[in-house]
Amino acid sequence: MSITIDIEKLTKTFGEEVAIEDVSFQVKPGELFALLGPSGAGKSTTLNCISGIVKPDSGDIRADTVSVLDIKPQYRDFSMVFESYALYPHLTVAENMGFPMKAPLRSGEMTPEEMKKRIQETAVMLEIPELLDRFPKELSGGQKQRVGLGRALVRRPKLFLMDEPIAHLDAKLRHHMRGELKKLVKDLGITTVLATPDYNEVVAMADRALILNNGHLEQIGTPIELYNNPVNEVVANAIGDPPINLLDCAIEKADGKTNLKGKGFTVACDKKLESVIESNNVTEELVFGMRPQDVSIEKDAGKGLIQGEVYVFEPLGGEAVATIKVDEKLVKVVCPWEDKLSIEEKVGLNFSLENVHIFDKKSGLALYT
Amino acid sequence: MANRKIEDIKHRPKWHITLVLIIAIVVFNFPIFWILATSVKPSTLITESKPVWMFRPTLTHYIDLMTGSSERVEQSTKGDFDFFAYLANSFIISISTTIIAIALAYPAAYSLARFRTLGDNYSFWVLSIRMLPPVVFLIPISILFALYRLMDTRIGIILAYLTFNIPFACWIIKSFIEDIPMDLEKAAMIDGYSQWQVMLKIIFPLTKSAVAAVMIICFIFSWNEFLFALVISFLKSTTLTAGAAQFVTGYGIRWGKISAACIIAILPTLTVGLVGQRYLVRGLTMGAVK
Amino acid sequence: MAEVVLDQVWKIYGRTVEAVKGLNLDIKDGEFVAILGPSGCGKSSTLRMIAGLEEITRGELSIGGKIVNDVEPGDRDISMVFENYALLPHMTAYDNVAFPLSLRGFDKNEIDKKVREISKLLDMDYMLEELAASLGGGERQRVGIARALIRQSSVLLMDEPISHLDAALRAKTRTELVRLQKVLGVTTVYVTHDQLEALAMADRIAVLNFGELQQFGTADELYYAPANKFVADFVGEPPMNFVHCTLQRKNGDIRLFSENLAFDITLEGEDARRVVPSFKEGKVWFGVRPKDITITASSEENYCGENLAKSLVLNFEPGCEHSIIEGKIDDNRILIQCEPNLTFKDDEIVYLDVTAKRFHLFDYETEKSILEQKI
Repeated sequence: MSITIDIEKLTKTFGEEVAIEDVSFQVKPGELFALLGPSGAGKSTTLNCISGIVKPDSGDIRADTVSVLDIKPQYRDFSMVFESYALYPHLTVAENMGFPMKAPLRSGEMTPEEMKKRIQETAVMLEIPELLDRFPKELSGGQKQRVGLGRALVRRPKLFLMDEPIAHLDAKLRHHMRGELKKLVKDLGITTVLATPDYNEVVAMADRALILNNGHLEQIGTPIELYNNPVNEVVANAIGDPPINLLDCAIEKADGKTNLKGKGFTVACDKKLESVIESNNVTEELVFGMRPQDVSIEKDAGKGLIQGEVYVFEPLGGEAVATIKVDEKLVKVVCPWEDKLSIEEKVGLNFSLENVHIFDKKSGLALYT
Repeated sequence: MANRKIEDIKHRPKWHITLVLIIAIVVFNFPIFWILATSVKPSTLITESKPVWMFRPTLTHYIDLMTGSSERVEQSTKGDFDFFAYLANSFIISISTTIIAIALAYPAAYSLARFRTLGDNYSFWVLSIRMLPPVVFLIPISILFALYRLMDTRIGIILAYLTFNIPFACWIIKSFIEDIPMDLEKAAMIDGYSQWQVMLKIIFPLTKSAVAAVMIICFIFSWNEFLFALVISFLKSTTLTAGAAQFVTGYGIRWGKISAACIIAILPTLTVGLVGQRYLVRGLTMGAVK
Repeated sequence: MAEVVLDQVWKIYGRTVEAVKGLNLDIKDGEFVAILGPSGCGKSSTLRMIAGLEEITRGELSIGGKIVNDVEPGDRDISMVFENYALLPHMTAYDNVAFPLSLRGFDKNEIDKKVREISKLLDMDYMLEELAASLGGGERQRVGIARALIRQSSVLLMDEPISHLDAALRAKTRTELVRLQKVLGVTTVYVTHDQLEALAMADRIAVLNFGELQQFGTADELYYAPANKFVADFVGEPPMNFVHCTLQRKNGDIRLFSENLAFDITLEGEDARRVVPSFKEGKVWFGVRPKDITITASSEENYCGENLAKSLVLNFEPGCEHSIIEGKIDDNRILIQCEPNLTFKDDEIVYLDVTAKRFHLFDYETEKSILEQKI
């Protein structure tokens, strides 16, 4: 029963604030599609438009090519899981889960026995059958989240929307639920849209994702595409922890060689990079990007491509993050905990030009990744 | 100064508080006690200049009240004191006011809480009606009612009481509704419920204590109300409170009968209050803390 | 000198709630010590006792060599940064920072000088004239820190100061705080429930659980040589795996096996000698971190290998820098961290080498470590 969802140029303004603008994407049947962005980016607004709670200013939302824009939320046959779980406090778990099926507009669709059976099945699927007679206030965060899921899935809806569903669970449970959620949704074959600010979730769960920033769509692609080939600085920054290091630089031609020169560093370009620069006729200012995982520390400062001074060394258990000051900019590097760098130690940074990203400073667009 | 911490304060002896409470109870309940005493005191002893404490109690006043007999010498233009009719009126009016107030105020409160109905200041506008001294409305209502033949009707009194009860109910219920997270309504709508159904099935059950508190207060207010009942009612629609005014006659005040009427009048509200005090506290305080 | 020493310190609320039990901590001058533990473990109570906001039920607290149990908070030469910043909202950032000094009657010019100094250090110049109520979370937190630092007291106390910031701001502020402390060299006691913060920032970390000290050591000691199962489980993300098994000694070798023998390995020689002699035989927890597990083979046929653990793949979570497998060894759920370009299917069997890198053993009953570790 999985459907295709087409979102076309969705725009919504609240008063003077533009929440989302010209957002378009398509979710294929049975796909798990993620909306990734920081808080305030417009993810919830997008989900609320799709569910029908909020009416967009312009744009269209189509389910299997039929527009649902004028259909009230209760008739759209979508379901949603909320960050706050939104369980009905005055109903038991079983009653919470049965609530959607008992809606007046669905009266007659299922007999009470069928409803009971469906609730039982769903509870077993989510491993909560023993909780059916409890009230929400007696449950832990993880249990509440599963009840919320149960209530959303009990109807076998056409589209499943999730708004930061596992944000408030502890680390162990979050890992576990990422896998569970993905399996659940794939087993049932329901088209799903997931909103999250956590790129780890996107990488672990989503087939494809959309990067949202200040209401604008930046890029759509598989998690790997977004990580390896970000189309601009915003996308490069959105995926990866610690986030990508971005340093301003400009082209310098000296002695027949092309260099990237920035505050406190000069890096020679290789043939590949040179040809990209030539072909794009770049003379503008650029932004040079390196992921902390792609940089290594060289204790002998002279041996590194870039020199800097240790600003802070933070061991994180097993590995460490060193913040190196290059002129005035701070560059983060993931390195082994054994390095044990001390503040103000002079070190060198090494990396391969293969892993470097170059962006145009003005437009933010990627020229080389 | 030694470090005085929270633990020290906890161990303060309790007798201070007990004493204060006892004094408060005595002070607040003395009038009621006095009225109770007066209602069973023979008439002759009531008007003694020195208060008489020891006497043989009598039920004469209560009996006279209910049968409408004796003391016929001074009939006020309002006619016989028909105890049971008045009692019935009080009940009918109070209960009707309460039910109608809730029925109308609840959707209004929901609308004010959730939608920007008529602007952000409208709710304050509506609720400020309650802040005016009721006496301000007395003359306008009298004129209006006379015009529309609502004088001396139960409906008339109910309408008058609703003027105050609806804004009050609206105010309390609105702040209660505002405390309920909107996610619940969003979830219910997506689950397949219309706005009305959401209000009835989700919001209403969650505001039960506020509704109970409001109902208790509306009932008590309507039952105790005197001024409007006195002015509007005449013969058919007289309430117990208004009726008791009959005992203020040209020939003197019938203290015994008034006291008896008061005691009987207090009983329903006392019962409602005692039974519902749990809801009262919960209902009023949760709405007030923002 | 500003060392802080807790000697058998107890905190009992009412007459029965033992929030802190016999805590011994010696914090050296200039050291950054984190007090780490889950909510309710007694860490905030401990900090508040050091500050003087809570009475010490039993035991001695000394700051700078002097016993300060009965000394007023204001006289202890300490400053504190609170979880909710505790700023005066109607005053400007400048006034908030100047408050401790103006309260003590310092000269106006001197106050101004000190405020400007601190402001430069914390990059606050642009917001000095703003009302505290109009500042964002990260900015308020800086004002809170500046206010705490302005008196240049010997000891700085911080109670979960960055827990209410969003993830990006928290990482940034954490980096800044580490540097600040190193530069200023002030003795710092930092309370947190986030093990990552503790590991990144502190010279030494005191782990508390239910009011009892579990371990007090450097980040390395806690991570690589946890004293008991609680510390092993609490420190490190993703958390350590535990397999319930039985330990048997045989001719100098040690055999560890689980109930249904999905886990059956033998420790020989050097490794075997690391098990404390006082533990003869019995039930133990075998601990190994997800990244210390090596996947040697995966196949559906029965693989007869030596010293390997067999795990069922329950779930595979792909990642950019590494992927995570959720697996099961008999009834024990585990996580395995592996290279990002590998993939595994559900219900596949994988064979793991769990002793190639670091591993741990804990007594099942006491949960104490029974394996000597080298860092």
